Amino acid sequence: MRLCASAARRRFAIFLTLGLLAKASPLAAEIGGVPLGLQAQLTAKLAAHDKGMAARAGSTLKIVILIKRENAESANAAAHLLTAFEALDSIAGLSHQQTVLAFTDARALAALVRTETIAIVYLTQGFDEDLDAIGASLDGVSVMSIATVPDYVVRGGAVIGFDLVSGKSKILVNLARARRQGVQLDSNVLMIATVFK
Amino acid sequence: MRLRALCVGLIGVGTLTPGRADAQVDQDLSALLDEPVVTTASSTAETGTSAPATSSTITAEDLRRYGIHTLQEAVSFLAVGVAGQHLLDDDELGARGVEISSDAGNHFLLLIDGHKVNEPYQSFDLFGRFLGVPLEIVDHIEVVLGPGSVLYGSNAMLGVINVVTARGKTLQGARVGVYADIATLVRPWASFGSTFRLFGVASELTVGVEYLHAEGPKYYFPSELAGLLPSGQELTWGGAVANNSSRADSGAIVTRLITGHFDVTLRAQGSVSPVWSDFGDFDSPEARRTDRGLSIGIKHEATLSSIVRVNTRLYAAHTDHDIVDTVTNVDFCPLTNMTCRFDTRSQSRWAGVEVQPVFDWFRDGRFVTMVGVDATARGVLAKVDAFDDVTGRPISSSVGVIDHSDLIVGAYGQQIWIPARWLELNGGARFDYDERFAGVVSPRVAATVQPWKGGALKGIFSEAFRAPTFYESYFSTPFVPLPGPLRPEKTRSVEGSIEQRFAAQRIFFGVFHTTMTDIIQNFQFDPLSAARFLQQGRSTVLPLYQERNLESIDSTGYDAGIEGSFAEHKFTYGLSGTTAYARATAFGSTGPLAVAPRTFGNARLSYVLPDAWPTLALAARWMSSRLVENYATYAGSPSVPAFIELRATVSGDVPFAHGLSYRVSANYVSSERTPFLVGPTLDRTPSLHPVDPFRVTVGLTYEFPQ
Repeated sequence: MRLCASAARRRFAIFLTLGLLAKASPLAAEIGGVPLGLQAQLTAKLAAHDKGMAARAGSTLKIVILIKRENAESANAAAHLLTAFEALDSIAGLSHQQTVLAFTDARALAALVRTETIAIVYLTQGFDEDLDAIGASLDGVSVMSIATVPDYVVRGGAVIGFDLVSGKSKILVNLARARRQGVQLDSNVLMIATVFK
Repeated sequence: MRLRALCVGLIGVGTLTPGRADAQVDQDLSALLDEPVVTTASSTAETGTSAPATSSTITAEDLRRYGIHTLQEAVSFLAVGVAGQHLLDDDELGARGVEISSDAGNHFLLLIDGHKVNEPYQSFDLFGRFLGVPLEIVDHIEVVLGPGSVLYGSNAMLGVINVVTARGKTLQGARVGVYADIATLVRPWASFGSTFRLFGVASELTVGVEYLHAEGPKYYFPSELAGLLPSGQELTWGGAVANNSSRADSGAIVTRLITGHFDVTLRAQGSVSPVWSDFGDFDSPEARRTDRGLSIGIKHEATLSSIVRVNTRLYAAHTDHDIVDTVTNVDFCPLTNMTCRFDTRSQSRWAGVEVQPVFDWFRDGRFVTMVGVDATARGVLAKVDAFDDVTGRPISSSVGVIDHSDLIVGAYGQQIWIPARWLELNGGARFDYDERFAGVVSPRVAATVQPWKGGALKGIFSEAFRAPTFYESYFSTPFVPLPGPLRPEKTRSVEGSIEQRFAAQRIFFGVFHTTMTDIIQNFQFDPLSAARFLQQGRSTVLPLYQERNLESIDSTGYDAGIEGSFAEHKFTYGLSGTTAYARATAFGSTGPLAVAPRTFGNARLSYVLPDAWPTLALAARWMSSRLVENYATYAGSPSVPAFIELRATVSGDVPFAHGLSYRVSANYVSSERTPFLVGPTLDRTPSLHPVDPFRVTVGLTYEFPQ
């Protein structure tokens, strides 16, 4: 009888553990990626290598960090990025403003980028389902889109992303998306980046 | 003054690239891209500069470019502060002037994808060719120097080595290859990497398989006295080439699956390798060591809110070791005109769970609290049997029988506080419960100051411990009495370092002082102490040795290094060195450590030639002279001379054969012997493990079209 009770408790503990693990993973995201503080610094350097950045940004470079509602990872990443960007003195030699914005729909995002002359849109986690729509709506809109999830660049949903390979950061560039959004990175950046055409 | 001149020189060289403004930005970008991201030091992804430890990162490209074949070679040629030595049956690692001979590597904690490898019976680590992970699927290796028990518990005395396998998206595609040490060893391998969606979730799969067969190198061993035969005649050891004892076979398969927030590593390995015991017959065809292991580790990362993240790790493993040795020496085999066969078997199994909530209180990484609980259930079965080698009949009942299970629990906390952009503080402590000794607390306090661009100053205080292995705690025979309660070995380290980055170049200098206490070693009974032990009724026969906390070690010294690259990473270089003044104290007398080098280091250069031309690489490592194992028992405290090991490697694509690449290495060692004893060692001069002075290795890889 004691054995049965013990076995039952053990089974319950296993189910409880597995249940917690399953519940806590609603969306796919990158594990073991480039630290967000480092991503912000890399973004600042890459912005200086975009030939269209000065014209796009004007006097103040505006960054929108896009979050997915009710996605804790997204909110967490956005808060980290916000702090990291705030800590930078300048980006591409310009003063900068950064804002966290909850995503509603892709068209509204494109309209906002146009009207507010947003220079950089930073996609955090949770946009797997919206990626195609975001990409389509930003076609022809001059903006540098960056993703915390490397797969978003591979899928053509963002121009730039960062991946961790052999313990070091790698730049990912989707060249087709870059052309559609008027991002013109220097050839020396493309030489050291992993380019998806 | 010299340092300043060197810094100015480097800045000057670093700016000799066209397009001054862009070049400056490129250098900053290069510096960021070259900054290693490590996770081992604080269980958090962070840059190497801010990590609360001295660490080295060895990349897959480094392994390939410099013709590295084993983990021991990787850390010896490419890391700071670690010195490895290759023996006939295994590889030994030491750090910062400390090397504990015959410790089965258990003063380093070895992780594979973050999961502990050290098993409970002997805390065995395999740094050599039987690691069980094909290096072709290794993404990078993180080497963290100094005590690391604050997050990892036992064994992290000299450091933590984390072998991280490649993700499926990095490895993409299928490859097969073979490498061979000319006339001695062949190792075919295959790897596969892929990305896919599993139940709608982005997933990655990595698979690596290898098989190794060795027939050498074969060494001649001079004849020496090995005791007496039962008839009273002298028994000799050596006097021939060891043919049987140079054979080895091993195989391994490693699979890593990443799906959503889960990261699963499954590993199986087996090897049959030679046995080099001090009492066994020379080159016995029956003497072999069989090691098998099967393990699974599952990591899960869940972000519950913008403040709370929970990392969970489930793991289970089984290893078994079977060591067969034949003995004719009458001291160990008291059968008339017979040979005994000793069979030492051990099985270790362990499973556990680690739950690690992380609280990012201000949602920006500036004040992060990590707590964790790691509970492991362990069990060991072990015994030693002796047989008549001819008839196979047991000649006694099993001895050294261990059938023991326990539960160990570790609870820890770590606080990261970044009060200013230029200051990062890290403090933590771990409490480990083990039924065999009083609980152990392992603290760490570290501060990183980045007062100017590219510069970092670090101060670190840390402690660590190594729990006695099951073998040390429970192994006994009539001649080897059970030890009394053993205390865990402890180490305490204080270190400070300064690091400066100039674009893609990095200079590092650090000083350290380490104290190790209660080192567990064999206490060899002399006739008087053995008689007294017997007289006290603590043994039924005159004992030979007993495991005891015997020794303490102090080591003070410095690590220094410079590394970097020029010309868009086409030219890379590195140079590191360590000097330590280490002393061991036992029975009230103090002396230098055996087998550990006082000065050692490594250097490397590589250049990627343009177009279809190959990549040229030269790696070197060196060690100062080392006292031989048990040097105090020989007249004149013998030592082996300093050596340098050079490895030149040429690698590239095979012309006109799409997908086929090659790698050819030539390795030269200036020394003929290691300081480790081999054979019965009864003569007045020590017999030492030989070194393969020259070796050529050829490797071919074919990458299937995707």
